[in-house]
Amino acid sequence: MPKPTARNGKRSAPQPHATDQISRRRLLRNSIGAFLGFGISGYLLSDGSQPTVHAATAPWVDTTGPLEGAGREPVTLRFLDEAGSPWDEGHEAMITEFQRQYPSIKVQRNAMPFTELYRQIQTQVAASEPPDVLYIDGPAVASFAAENVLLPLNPYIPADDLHDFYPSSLEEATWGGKLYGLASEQSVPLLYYRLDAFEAAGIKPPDSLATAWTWPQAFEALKKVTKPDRYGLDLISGQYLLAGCLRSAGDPKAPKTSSAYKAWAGISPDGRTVVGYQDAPEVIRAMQLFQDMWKQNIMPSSPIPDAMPTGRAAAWLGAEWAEGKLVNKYASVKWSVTPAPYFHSPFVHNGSLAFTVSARTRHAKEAVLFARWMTSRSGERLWFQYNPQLPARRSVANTTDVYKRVPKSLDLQEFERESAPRIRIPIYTQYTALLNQTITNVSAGADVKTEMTAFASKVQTALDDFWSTHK
Amino acid sequence: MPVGPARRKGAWPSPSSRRALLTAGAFLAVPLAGLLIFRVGTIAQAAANSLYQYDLLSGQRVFTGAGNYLRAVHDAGFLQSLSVTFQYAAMKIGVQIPLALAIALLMQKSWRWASVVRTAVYLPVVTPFVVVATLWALMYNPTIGIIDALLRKVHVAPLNFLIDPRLALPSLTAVTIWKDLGFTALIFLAGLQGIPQGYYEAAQVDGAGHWRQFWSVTLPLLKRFTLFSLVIATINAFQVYTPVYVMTQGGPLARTEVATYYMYERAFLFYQMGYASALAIIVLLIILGLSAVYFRLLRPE
Repeated sequence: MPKPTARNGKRSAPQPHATDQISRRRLLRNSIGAFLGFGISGYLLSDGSQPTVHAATAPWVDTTGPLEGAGREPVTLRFLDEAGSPWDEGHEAMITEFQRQYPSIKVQRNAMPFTELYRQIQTQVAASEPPDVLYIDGPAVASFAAENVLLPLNPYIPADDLHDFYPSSLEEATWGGKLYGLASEQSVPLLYYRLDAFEAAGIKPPDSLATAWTWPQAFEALKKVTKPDRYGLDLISGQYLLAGCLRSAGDPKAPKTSSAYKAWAGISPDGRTVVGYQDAPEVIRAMQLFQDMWKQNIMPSSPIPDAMPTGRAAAWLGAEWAEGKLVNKYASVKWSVTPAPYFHSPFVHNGSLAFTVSARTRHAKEAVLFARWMTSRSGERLWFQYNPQLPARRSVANTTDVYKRVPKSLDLQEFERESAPRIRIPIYTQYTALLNQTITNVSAGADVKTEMTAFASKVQTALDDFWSTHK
Repeated sequence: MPVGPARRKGAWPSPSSRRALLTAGAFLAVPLAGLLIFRVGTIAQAAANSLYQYDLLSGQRVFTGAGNYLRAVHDAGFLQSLSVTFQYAAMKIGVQIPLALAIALLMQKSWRWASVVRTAVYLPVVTPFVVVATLWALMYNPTIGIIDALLRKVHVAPLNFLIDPRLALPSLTAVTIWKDLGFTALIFLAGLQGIPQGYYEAAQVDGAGHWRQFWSVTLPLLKRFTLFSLVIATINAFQVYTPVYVMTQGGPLARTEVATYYMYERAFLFYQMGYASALAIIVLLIILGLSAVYFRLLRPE
């Protein structure tokens, strides 16, 4: 598989895979549909203005059934996307291919940095001008769905197609029993470490899930690789990385009324209670260990760009995007990977951004077609060439060879065996902001129990406010 | 602009006066419309919103009357943010105004590098605040920041400028003083250049030294400029948002959570647009009140 180079920015446009495993019956149906569709449109557009369609590649998503008629009329879709690499080059290339396959649909991509995406969507929704397709972080899907900003996708997607997605990928984008988003990739955290630092300290981190470190074990090891000019661990992010570590202090198999279960669950099954969950004793004890790491300068309390690859930290709790950076930008750094440590239960967060469709779009079928196309098997394979992260479809992940070898085999194993989506909470922005504030306070030396109790209480207040106006 | 000869009370203006008035009106119409729509209109809209429980995303509105204002009075978070804002304003104004005056006095002297100093002092003013805040956040970083690197050179332990609850607000204030100093200094410079030299000569004849001249001539004659600087610095202090957003996000322990950042959180993180509007109106009233006090205290004699 040709791999685009990230440095020179010049990529030969990858060719889409035409080898989707589709049944003969569907192939026949698609061919007849395409033949009739093109024949009829050709007849209707017999003034000679019919678009040129490359017969070499069949459309990756058929426009029969619920999507019948999609793209029959010229339509422009507004797509709000994440800015930067690999989205700029990857999604642009995919859009070009999509427009080639569906010439009457034009996609107008508007890209924003990740931190601005949420605000951008808020503003456009408040102004009644939301884009047709929105690229949203997984847990935020629930938040927007709860506000009726998004279109439920179930009526537009055949059940057999959904079965190909990893269940947790769908679970993350589900609210109130309805599916609102489709992801093209997934991610789980692993601990990336510098071989020079760990070898010098005589430490060999585990290389399998079965022997993975607990956080107290990792703490001892990280203490040994910490030097006056080098932190042991770079771990900054809040709700994806650190909150996942805290949840591992709980136990998903414990009785549902126990604090151990609540520590793992993070929120009550009805989505209305966080007090007793976010501040369970197990969570507080886990957070205490992180504070000890901050106090002992094992972890930096201020972000340091690329701390591990530049030698300012010995290890980095990151996901496959960290691996991409190490491979493309810091090729000379010798590194390896070990499963993410845990407290009581081997557990990590998974997740990604998802393609969603605005509830107010005037082009629902075309917008859904685009979202489905971007997350189709061929779409995911094309995307993988730009962003080598775990595909959200089982069929693609299982046929991508790199997931049979370390380090990516660890990603796949951890994802399949130990991961779950972040908590689904309709006040996602509030939860994230309050969590980040709490982490800052704890890293600054505030009392952990007081902070975690106050955090749970504030989230509960916001949650109560939400439910009081959203019956 | 001439508006014609004086006319009898109640009489219509002459045709030439009417034409002049129309011309003036036409010129003023566009900026006035902008002022009404984008300034007065938005304040009026905020005042109207403050009477509702208004969810930004869903657009739901429930009339609550003075409910949001009563809530603000009992909101410990808002009161804390007001306290932080007053501390910030006191620190900023207390340092910035005297420092700017000192720099203006230096810049007033005719010496070789005066123009270089003027440019250097004013440069931060024209630099976007996002850039300034990002650069200072990096400089304050205890691991990769230049300030702690210099401290280490002289064997001083690194300081967590933006993480240490005792240092965060002063560190943030230092950045905004550095940014705004040039503007205030320029105002004072304009004031200094407007003081007739004869006053100083008369004072010298009376035997006044430099210090006495400063207290008895310079400061009193700069009263209007000081008032203007105080009002602008106070308004700026109560509007501070960008450095908080970029550098500290209100933390640690809410020690840098100023009123505007608290408002932003209510509006755009908690979607409580009505409540955030009420807080904005309260802050507006505080700024108006403080400005009125300044005008009263520093009224020209």
